[in-house]
Amino acid sequence: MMEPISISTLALIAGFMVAPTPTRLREWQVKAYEPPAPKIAAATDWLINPNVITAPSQDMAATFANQMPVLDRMGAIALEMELYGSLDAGWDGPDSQVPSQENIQDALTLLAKLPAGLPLPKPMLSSTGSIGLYWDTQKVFADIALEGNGRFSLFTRLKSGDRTETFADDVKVGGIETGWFAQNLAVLFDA
Amino acid sequence: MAIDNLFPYAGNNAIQNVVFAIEWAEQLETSELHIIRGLHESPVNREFRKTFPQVQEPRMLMIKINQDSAGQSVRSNNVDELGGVNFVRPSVNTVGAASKALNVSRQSCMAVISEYTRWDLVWLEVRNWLILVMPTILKKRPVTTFGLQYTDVFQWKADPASLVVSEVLSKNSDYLPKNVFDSKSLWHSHHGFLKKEQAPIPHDLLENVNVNMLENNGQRSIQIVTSHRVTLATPLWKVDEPLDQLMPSLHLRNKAIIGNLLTPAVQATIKLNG
Amino acid sequence: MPANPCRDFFALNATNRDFVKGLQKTPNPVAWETLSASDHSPGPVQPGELLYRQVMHPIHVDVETRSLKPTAFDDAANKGLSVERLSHVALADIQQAGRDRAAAQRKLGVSHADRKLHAVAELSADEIRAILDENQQRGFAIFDTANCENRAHADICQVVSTRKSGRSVRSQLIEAVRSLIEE
Repeated sequence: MMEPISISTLALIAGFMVAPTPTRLREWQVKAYEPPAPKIAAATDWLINPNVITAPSQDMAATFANQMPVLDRMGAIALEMELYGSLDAGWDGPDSQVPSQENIQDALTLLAKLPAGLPLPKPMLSSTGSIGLYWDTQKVFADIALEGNGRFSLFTRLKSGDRTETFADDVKVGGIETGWFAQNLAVLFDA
Repeated sequence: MAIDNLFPYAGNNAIQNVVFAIEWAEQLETSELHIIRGLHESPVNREFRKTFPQVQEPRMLMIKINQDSAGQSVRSNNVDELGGVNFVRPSVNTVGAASKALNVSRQSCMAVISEYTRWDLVWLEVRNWLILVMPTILKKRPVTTFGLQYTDVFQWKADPASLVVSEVLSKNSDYLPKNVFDSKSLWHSHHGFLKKEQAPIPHDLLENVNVNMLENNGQRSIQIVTSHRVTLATPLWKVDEPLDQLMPSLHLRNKAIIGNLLTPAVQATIKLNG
Repeated sequence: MPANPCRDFFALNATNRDFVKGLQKTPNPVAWETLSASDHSPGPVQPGELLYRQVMHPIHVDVETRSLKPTAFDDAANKGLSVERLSHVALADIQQAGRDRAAAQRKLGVSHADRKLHAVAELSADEIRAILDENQQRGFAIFDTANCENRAHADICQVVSTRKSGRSVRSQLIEAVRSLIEE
C-alpha cells in the first residue's frame, strides 16, 4: 500500500523539478481571510462584533493567496465620507441629520489637498450632520469642520508644553492649496 | 517640489504591512493547534481576545493515494485536518483584509500588521502575541528561523510621465540597477544576498530587496518589499531573548536598506530618521 | 419656595433641542451647578460622581483605537449631552436601558436599523469640570436634569460660546473619557 501523500508533499515534489535560487527568499504572504458573512461593506458597517467563527474547509494553499487591499488608506477615508451621504435622517436618533452632498464633496476636496507626509486624518460625523476630519496623536489634536457654503474651519491644539491653540475660521475650500495645509498643519509633521 | 505628488501609503509612513515570522522544522500536532486555539478563550487573555475578535481554523486536506489490485492509483480516505489557527482583527477599510493578524500554521507563526504606527509600539504588541503562543510550540521542537518583512508603497498621484525616478530612488543606491532611472515604463528589480553572521547568535542572514514600479488604473506606485530571514546555526528551544536581540536589529537593517534606496527628500517625508 | 433660575430655565426649555445656546447667554451658567435643575432629581451632580454616556451608533467610534470620535459628544453644544449618574443607577441598568432604547428605535424603520448600544463611555464629573478653554474659562457645566422616568439623568452642557473655544473643549471632553465599555 502506498503511503498517504499530502498536498504539501506534492507541492514539494513539484518544487524539486525547478532548482531553487538559494538567495531568493519566498516572500511571507499577507493572507486574505474569509469575512464572517459575505457582503458589501454597508454604510454603517463600522464596528465589528467579537464573533468567533470557524471558516469552512478550504485548501491551505488557497489561504496563502496574496491579496492587495481594495483601497489605499486615503481611498478608504474618502469612501467612509461618501457613505455618510447614504444615511437617512434620524440615523442617530430623533432630530439627527445627514450631511449635505456639498459638504461631503468639500471634505473630499480638502482630503485631496492634504500634503504628503502628514499622518492620515480620520473622518467624523455629528448627529447634526456636521462632517469633518480629525487627527488625534500623542502630541497634537487637530480637526477640520465643514461649515457649509464652501467654507471650513481648522483647529489645532498642542497637548503639552504651552498647549498652543490655533483656529482658522471661514476659510474657502476652493481658495487654498496644499501649501496652506502644509503651513497650518505644520504641528502634525512632528506629531 | 519634485515629489509633491508622491504620497507615502499611510500618510506619514509608507508601510503597507509588516510581517514577523518564526519557523520550525517539525510540524505541530493537531492537539497543539487546539491548545493554541484555546488561548483565545482563556480568561487571562482578555486583551488578546479584544485585539483579535475573530478566529479562523483553516483546514488541510490530506489526500491518501493507494493502489488497487490492478496497480492503479486511487484516492481514498481523505482526511480533513486542522491546518492552522488564524487570529484576525478585520480591517475597517477593506473587506477581506486584516489590520492585524496572527497566523499559526503547522510549521510557522506569522504576525502581520497592516496599520503600522511606530516600531516601538508595533514590536511591543507583536512580541506579546509571540510570547503567548510560542511556549506551546517549543514544548516539542526548537525554532529554526526568524524573519521580518516590510512592504513599503509610495503612490504617484499625477501623470506617470511626470514621475522622475531619481527624485524618489537614489542613483547611488547599492540595490538598484542603473537602467531603472532611465525607464519611463514599468520595471522590477529583485535582489537577494546571503551573509554569515555571528552576532547576536550565529546565523545565516538572507535578505531580499524587491523593488517594483507598478501601475493600477493609470496610477503609478513604487513598492519596496524588504525581507530579512535569519536561519539559526543551532535551532533554539527558547525565543524570548533571541527575539529581543534579533528583531530590533533586523528592523535597523531594514531602515538602513530603505534609507539607501530613497532620496533624502523622500526619507524626510516619512521621517525615516526620526 | 426660593427662586431657582436653573430649574426655571430647564423647565422653560424642556422641548428646546438647542437650549445650550440659550444657556451660554445666561450671565453665569456655571454657578447654576449648585442648584437643582429638576424636581425629580436627587440633587445636583456632586464632585466625585461618575457619569456614563450610552454610545448608540458605530459612526462615533474609531474602531482602530477603540476610542470615541470628537463628534460623539456634539450634543453638549446644542441639546445637552445626556448621561447617567452612577451614584443613582447601576451600570448594568444603564446598559440595559440603552439596549431597550435602541430596540424601541429600531422598530421605527430601516433608517434606524443600526441603532444598537455599542458601548458606554465612563466620564468623571470632576474631570469634566476641570476642562478649560484657552482663556481659562470653564468648558462645561453638568446639570441634574432628571425626569419622572429617570432620576439618574443629567446633561453635560458646553458653556463657552466662541467657535474656537467650542472646538478646544470638545476635543478635551473626548480625552476625558476614562474608559469605553464595549458590548
